[in-house]
Amino acid sequence: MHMLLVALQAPAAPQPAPIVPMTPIGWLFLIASVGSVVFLVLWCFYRVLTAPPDDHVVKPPDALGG
Amino acid sequence: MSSSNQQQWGSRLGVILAVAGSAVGLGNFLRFPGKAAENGGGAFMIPYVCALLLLGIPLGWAEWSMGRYGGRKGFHSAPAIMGVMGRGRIARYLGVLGVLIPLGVYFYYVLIESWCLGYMFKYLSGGIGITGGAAIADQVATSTAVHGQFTGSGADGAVFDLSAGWNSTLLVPFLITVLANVYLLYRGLSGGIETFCKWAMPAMAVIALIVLARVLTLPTDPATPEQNVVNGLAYMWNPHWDKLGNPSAWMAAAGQIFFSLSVGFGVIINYASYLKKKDDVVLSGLTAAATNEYFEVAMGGLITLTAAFVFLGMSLTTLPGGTFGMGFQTLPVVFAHMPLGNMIGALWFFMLFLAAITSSLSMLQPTLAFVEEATGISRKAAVTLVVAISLIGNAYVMYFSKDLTVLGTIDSWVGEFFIVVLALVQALVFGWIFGIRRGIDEAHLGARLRIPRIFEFIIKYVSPAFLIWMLVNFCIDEHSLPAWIAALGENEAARNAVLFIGAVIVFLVVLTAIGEKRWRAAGLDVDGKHPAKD
Repeated sequence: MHMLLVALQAPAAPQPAPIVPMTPIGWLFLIASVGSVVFLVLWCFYRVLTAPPDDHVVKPPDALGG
Repeated sequence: MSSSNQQQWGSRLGVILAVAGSAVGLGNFLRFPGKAAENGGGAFMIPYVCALLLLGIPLGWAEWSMGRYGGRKGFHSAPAIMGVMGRGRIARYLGVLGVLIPLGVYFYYVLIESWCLGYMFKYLSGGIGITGGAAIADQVATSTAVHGQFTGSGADGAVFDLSAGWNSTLLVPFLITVLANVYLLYRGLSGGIETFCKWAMPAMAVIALIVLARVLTLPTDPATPEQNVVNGLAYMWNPHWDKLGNPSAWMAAAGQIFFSLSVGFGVIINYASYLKKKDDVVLSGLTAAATNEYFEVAMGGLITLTAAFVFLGMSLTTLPGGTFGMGFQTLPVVFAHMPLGNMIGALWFFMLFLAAITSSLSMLQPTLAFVEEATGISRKAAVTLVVAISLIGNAYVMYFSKDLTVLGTIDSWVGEFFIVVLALVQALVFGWIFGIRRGIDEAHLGARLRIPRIFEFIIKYVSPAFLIWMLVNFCIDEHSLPAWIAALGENEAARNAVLFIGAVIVFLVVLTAIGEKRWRAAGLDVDGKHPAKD
């Protein structure tokens, strides 16, 4: 979440690098990475939302008051 | 208002969204793409996935399990829970880091949250004054000046200068942000944090999808046909294998996973302590992590740099990077070029504000639970005390704003270094003192998913080794600990910031000692000598 200041005032590159078009391996990384996290989040939420409701109602002790 | 001891989550989905909300923050949209592009593009995903599997997910499961176990013992604060899990005083006092980290980060994080709100107000009232036809350098200078007004980085006390108008300073958005945080905190765990996260997280997802759709359908300027969406994606995702040989790429990946997932932050352990004995922690932990990864990889990885590339091309590499530079200096230039830029800019900063407030809420809750638990005062009194402490911290960071030295110093020590230390303590306590077999059995109580056996080995051996390697790197990297220590001798603001952190640590240690006496007097199993009851 943090390390916010890193590169805040990073030295600017003197010359922009040339544009490189998307390579097949670039597409592979993009599709595999994005596809994996989308699949994982959908699978997790499917499992969460289709799980039977909890039937254990156990209150923690309340010895401290407050 | 009930005490923290009587608080419960309202639903399984609620706690997952609250933990995910805590994890999803500015770093998902602003820091991740920059780190990836800088450290190998698509190839960065290799160390990133390794860090996720070896640190993020297993340590997350350990924190969820420790929190729920501590809750069954009647505890909700990191010092008390660490004392139970670590069977004694050393772990208990090291657990103070689990309160210091979220509180210390809150001192400055809420200011950044206020910047997001302030930028949103500016876009709703006509933009931030960038002229699209001007030279890129002039546009960046304008956005940097606007950002400077919000940060007050020009001089100490600059944010209190109201001469530029109410919507050019931090004060109004800051007050609104603090009031929103306090109100939701005061409403309690279920009525405040959970309820808010249950609509804020879906809202954030919808806004991110709208912005993503806009970015992926951006037209190509015929004058610069090579500055198109596909080449923008290439800038982010084409792999650069040579970067993987550099340890800094692996440190960057581990750091990103850490800060992004809120592992070792003291939040998950507190949130999980309000679960019931047979509430699932394995699937919930994985779902919260997956949600964070969705926002980071699928949204942050497709939106930010792609949009910037389409309008700025490779000159993007010469513009301010990092979380602040990308978010508050470079992207405003992009919005100035974009059709419907003010609307998209307002939506974007509203989304960042939602991401930030769901995180900042989670930063005060552990302190609140700790104060209640240690002193026995009512929730209302505890909220008042915690808000007062946090306002002192906010005011300190806000006033001493010159060059953002104070903010940067607290971020370095608390938001970077102590997080890794706490994570190492937690890994050792869970894997070695509490016992990995017992820990995994505890995690499996009520679990909707089995933790694969390999993670026993990972949590016990690999994660601690990885964390020790990170700490060693911190100690030898000339830009990390050695530089921070050197700054203490050279820079008065940095020195005072560290003293300020030290004062907070002393305060928390004293509260822990007071709490320990109370807990022992109440007959609680402070040192974890007995099995947890239902």
